[in-house]
Amino acid sequence: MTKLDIRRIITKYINQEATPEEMTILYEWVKKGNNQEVFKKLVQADFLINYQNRSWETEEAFQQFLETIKKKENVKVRTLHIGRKAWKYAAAVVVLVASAAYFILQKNSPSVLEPRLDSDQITLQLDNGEIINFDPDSDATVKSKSGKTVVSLVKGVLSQNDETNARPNATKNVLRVPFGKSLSLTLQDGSVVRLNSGSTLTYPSSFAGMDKREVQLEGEAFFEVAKNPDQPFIVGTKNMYTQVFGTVFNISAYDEDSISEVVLVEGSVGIGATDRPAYGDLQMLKPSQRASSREGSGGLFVVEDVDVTPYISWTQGVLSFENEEMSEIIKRLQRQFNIKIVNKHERLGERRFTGMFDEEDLDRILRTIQAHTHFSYSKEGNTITITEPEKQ
Amino acid sequence: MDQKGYHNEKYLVEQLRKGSEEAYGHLFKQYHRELCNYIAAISGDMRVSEDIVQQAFIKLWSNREKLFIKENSLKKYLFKIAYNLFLDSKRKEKKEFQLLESLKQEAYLGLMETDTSLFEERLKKVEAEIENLPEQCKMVFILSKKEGLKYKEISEKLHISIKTVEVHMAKALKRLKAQLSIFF
Repeated sequence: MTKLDIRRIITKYINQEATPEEMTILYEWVKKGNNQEVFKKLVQADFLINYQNRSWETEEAFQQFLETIKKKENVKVRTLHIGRKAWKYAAAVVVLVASAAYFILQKNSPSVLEPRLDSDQITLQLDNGEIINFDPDSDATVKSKSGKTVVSLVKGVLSQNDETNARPNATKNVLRVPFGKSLSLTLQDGSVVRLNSGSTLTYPSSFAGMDKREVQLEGEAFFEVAKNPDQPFIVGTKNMYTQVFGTVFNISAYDEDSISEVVLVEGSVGIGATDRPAYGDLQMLKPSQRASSREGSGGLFVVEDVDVTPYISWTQGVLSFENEEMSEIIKRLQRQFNIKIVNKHERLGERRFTGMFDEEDLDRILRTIQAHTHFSYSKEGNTITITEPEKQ
Repeated sequence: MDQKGYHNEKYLVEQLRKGSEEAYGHLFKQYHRELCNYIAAISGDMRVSEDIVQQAFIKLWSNREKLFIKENSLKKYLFKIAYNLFLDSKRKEKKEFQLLESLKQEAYLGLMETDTSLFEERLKKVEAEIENLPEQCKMVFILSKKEGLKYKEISEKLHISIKTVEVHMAKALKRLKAQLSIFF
């Protein structure tokens, strides 16, 4: 290794041209003697060569800064509020107890009756194929045609009563929440599920007589599960299998998202891969941990500590992003506002943002993100198109 | 803006902690330009630099209540936030190369302390030295640094081997570094 060779490699490294082999050579070299100093000096020289004393839009940046911090100040109060509320839920969960029973939900059974998706209506498809429509904004009590099922919607919370003589393993319900809406559902065991926009939950009318309580989710839901150690609560999603031990948590598993995730608020859950739900093999989560799985990762989960607030804020009508890629944010905005967003600004998709918003105002959200980065958008009908900004 | 003694860093930090708009205005006036230049030199991208600097100021504001800064290190603190944001914005390097990256970081942080008005002076010398480089070496260097071409593109454009490009670049850096010796 001549001096020129190593200088050539360092220069390449600084200019982001080094091959992995060269980086290995450099790595070994830099560990020896005084080489670190030599390396650092070349880095500094390169920095100084690159350095240009430009002028920048400082005044404009300061105005943007003021705008941003004012918005941040406004949402701060809300954050604390959410924290407290989540805690209250957790305490309530422990007192609920359901009786032991037997049931297996038919997993992956072909859904013979694909219900019409009325885009503004919440639909509940009963086991006999009958579809009941709801307007989530008004209270209603509906009796099924057979008269055996009574479903009532009170203040955005859905509950269902089936006649007890119905065979338990034959009562499969499919609840679909359209884009732009969300809804809470009280299950027969007292567990409460809050479904986010564009989500579908498949659940039995009653868990009585089953050895586990099993539901299927596509989309995102916040669960407050009634404690019952004799009858584990299980949420199946496309990639993940979550077994619950009496707890509050959030699952997000939209078909279109490449990541499925479970965030535990309180209690204890175990995660497994959907295609091989081996009981002994569950990955346990602690409160304030998030397990996520990328599609095609072969049932591998990444577990990390998180602040749960941004993950559950949607249950309070707050939209929250924590260092999230714009491409993911766009997907969430589409669901939340039932709108189509076309992003023609490729680089923007990779940018990450953190922020909290009230869900009502899409314009304000886009304008706030604009304050951090430059892009243009236009709205036509039900489609928003994001483009690179015109040259300034 | 400066009448209230913001040049006194202790007072400035105190006001920043309280969230005084005026104090943040002063902070922008004082460091925005310098910080943008600094991150631009590292990232090579002016827009990225502007965004990162903006985020850095916001981060400082968000953490203002926990702001405890040793005497005369506000600049370093702010620049460090920005540099860390820049690192976050890049994909994580492989573990074995983290040493190289952290050395790079040390090198950049070392320059943070330098009075940037000194840069000006030196840079004129650097410009002159670029003119003095052998013809092909100079061409290669300008294509890389001023036009932002990759080594491969330069080799194609000048009909020389990539290895020759590499040697020219290393040579140029060495000669220019000699002109910058005041900083090392």
